Amino acid sequence: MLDSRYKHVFLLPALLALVAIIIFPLIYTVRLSFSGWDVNFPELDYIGWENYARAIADGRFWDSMGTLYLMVLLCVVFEYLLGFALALLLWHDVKAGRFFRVLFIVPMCVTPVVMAVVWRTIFHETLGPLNDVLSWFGIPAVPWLSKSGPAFAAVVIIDVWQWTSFMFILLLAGLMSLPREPYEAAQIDGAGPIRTFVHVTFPLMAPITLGALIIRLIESSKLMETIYALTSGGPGSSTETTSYLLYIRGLREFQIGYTASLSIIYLVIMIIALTIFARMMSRLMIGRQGPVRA
Amino acid sequence: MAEVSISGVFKRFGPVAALSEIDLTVHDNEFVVLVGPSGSGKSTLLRIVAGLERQSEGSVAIDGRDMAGIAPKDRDVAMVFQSHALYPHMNVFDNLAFNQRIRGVDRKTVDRKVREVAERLEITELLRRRPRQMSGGQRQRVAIGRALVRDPRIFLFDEPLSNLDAELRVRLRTVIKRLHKEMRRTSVYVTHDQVEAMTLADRVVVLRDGRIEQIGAPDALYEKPANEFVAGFIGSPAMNFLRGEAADGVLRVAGAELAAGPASGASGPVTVGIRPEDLLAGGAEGRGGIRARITLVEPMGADTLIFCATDEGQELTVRLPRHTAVRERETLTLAPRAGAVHLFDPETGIRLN
Repeated sequence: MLDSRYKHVFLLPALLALVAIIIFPLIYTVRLSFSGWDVNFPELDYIGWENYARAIADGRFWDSMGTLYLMVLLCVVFEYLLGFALALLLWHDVKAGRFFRVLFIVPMCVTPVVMAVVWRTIFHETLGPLNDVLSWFGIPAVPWLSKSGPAFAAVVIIDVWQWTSFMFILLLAGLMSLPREPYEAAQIDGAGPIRTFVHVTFPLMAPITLGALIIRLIESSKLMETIYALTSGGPGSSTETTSYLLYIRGLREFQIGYTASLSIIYLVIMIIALTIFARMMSRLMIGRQGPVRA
Repeated sequence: MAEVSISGVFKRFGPVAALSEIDLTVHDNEFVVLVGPSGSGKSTLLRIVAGLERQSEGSVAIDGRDMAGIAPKDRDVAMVFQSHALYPHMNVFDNLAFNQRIRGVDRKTVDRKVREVAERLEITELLRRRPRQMSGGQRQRVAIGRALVRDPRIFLFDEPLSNLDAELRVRLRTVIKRLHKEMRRTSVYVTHDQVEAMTLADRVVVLRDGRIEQIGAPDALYEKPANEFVAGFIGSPAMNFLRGEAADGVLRVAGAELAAGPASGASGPVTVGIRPEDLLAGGAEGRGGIRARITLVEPMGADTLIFCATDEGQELTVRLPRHTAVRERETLTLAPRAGAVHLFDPETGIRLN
């Protein structure tokens, strides 16, 4: 029997890395948020809650959070619906499933900035192919990137294009792992396709659905590169998400102390929001007693 | 009233034949158990009766009506699955009521039926629970209840007890048997457990590699197995098989000479089958006795299992009454009970006596 202390020795490198890249920056950010560090005063002084008071009064910050939430909500809902629909379509077609699984990975592999640049070309008001295609159907040219509504939609479209496949792959894998017997029970009970979906497929998929939604929520809350390359948060601040605002405040304007306080507020709100969401969803979809065992 | 007639059924999965030449009639109110090792095709046959799978050849008829092209839901069968297959997000009540609601039965009737069945299966206090809040045994009770509520013409069971622990298995087995006695419905039950087959069945169908090896009442199967496979499969611990020689009504086996029994006209090499409980200790040595050295003693409470080896190294299992004073490494002289010797053709495995 090995001395149980050895395990701590083996865990130490990982622990050190964790401290170096997460714990230390986190604590340092908290400390920074109480300082007035900026371009003019690059010093770790102490100014109390001043930054936080300023943040709470900062309308642009709260607007960016509103933008973010709306964007994330739309993206994740569309990705889920489309991904689930595609997965259901290809569920019983093993060959096609394999082909599309590979094909659909491609968007996820593309660097977000590169992709945003390509999409910027597609969305170009006069030279882009998208408006050209729309004009065939008699739809007048849409100012994709220069009007707030279309710009917002453009960001959502790109995210949906890139991440639907993620939902698709996850949900397809889930569908293929479902037990056969509940379906046969439903068949013998005389449930049609809609009842079977509502009473068998959907509930059995609940744990996977929940996992997929939460992963995508966390992931898409960090939405930044696409916006950086596509709209730079514009026009105005209509596509400015919180992480993009943090980037502007911190790395362009170099208001380090203030940005630190913004990120701490953002972090706390995200943790609370995601926790509440995860609890609500799991209660709604799975019930209180933990996941369904087939 | 339901009779299932299966005639000439074949089922092929690509080049593999899962079932060949299955002819079987399950009579009205009869409890038939399909038993066999895994891969014997017993579940496939059940699924064909349910309509979940289509046979490659042959026909299945219920009450004389050919079932070709008739969907599972229109066959008036209910099935209990190995993994209970309850609807996970519905509570027990809704699970039991689901089928009746689909069929548009009115609320009051559904309510009454569900409560009746719940009472019968002693799951009334579970009606508000969901499947995951129950133990395996409770879930399987609910699954049986779901079949009962429908009051179908035919009950199909696909290894319903296989996922349960030993004690629960025995308890639910009696529940199923009692239900059958009360309700008298045609039932087809699949299991790989020969004890379940013996205890539940009116008739047992032994399957191997997609073929029927023997059909018969449990006792008949036990006492007169048609071949070596059935002889070895039915009964626990399994029957002993020894190499022997038959000539002139005398059976030479493991250095002993036994009377081969009057009906046996066999001569030449034979496989001799003797059940563990049919070997009696303390016979005279030489003529009529098999000498065997005890290698292991397993006291079972009611009786004692003794594993031993003959001088030629053939393994034997003997079931002796408890309190038999034997010790490992002792030598026993064993003689088979009169008329309890089974003879099989060593090549084809077919019964000779």
